[in-house]
Amino acid sequence: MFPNLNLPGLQLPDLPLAFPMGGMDIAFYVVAAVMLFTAICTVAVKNILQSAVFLIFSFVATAILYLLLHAEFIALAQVMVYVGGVVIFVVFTILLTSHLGEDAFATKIPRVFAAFALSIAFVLVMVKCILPTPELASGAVSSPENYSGLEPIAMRLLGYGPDGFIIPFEVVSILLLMTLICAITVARKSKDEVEKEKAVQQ
Amino acid sequence: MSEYIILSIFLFLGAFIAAAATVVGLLLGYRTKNTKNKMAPYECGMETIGNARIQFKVGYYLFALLFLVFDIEALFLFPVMMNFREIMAGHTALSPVIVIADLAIFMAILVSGLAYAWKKGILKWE
Repeated sequence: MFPNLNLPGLQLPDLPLAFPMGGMDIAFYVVAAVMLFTAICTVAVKNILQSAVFLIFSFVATAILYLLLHAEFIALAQVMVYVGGVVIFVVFTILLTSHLGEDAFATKIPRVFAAFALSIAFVLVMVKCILPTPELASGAVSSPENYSGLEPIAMRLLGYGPDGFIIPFEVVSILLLMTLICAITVARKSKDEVEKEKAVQQ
Repeated sequence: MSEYIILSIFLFLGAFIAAAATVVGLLLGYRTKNTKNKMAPYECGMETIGNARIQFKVGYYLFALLFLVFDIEALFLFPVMMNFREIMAGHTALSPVIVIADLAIFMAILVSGLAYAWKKGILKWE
């Protein structure tokens, strides 16, 4: 196996870095560059609404990365849930909160350094986790043909055999129901509050 | 994979046309100085009053929450619907009756959530 990642003499395993690169490699690097750029813009931009818009682009680029990995269902989830739902939700929350979008945040320098240190530490941990798996690091992991396409996923999702996920599929709906009820309970005005408001108005 | 190449061509063309429209406008357009009047937000010729950013009603938040839940539901139903016809025709290993029952349970649980929201008066706009 590979030697552990020592910081001073960073030893990389012999990865099959293929130059000249194929079309998929170029696509990966382009998409990854777009993703990194928009992700940096998300945290660097002063206006919080603009950073939400950059977040959309970052999520879309992530979805394209998933597509490049042949993970269709996750790409679909990324676009539908994160781009279509979560970011919209973030925007709603910004707009619901009065005055939040108006003032630029004054970021203190020590915080910037702390954020940098944290993210670099995170990257190191990720690299250390990924490198000992040579198949993963070299991108040579391959699932069976069309394993993660939409249709095979559906067959496994509904399957009641030994490789089926029908129980998790049904449990998802219960989880969603719980989310719905909790959200309603938290966000809705209670009867007392409504009556109080009416009393105030009168 | 070929459908994704078509998709990426569309993505590229969409971005290209949007960028080209802006750039061509910049290149060909007649430029004047940016005065304060020119840069003012246009509001049907009226003078703008106050800030454009107002606080939204909390009601929108609940609708967004409802949307998110049913968005995820649609996400899970989408792959199933992609080969629903094949399952119904019996070309797969799954029995059509069991699949229908599964989907019915899935939907029933979520629709009961919608019914709860309805009963609590969330859907009524105040």
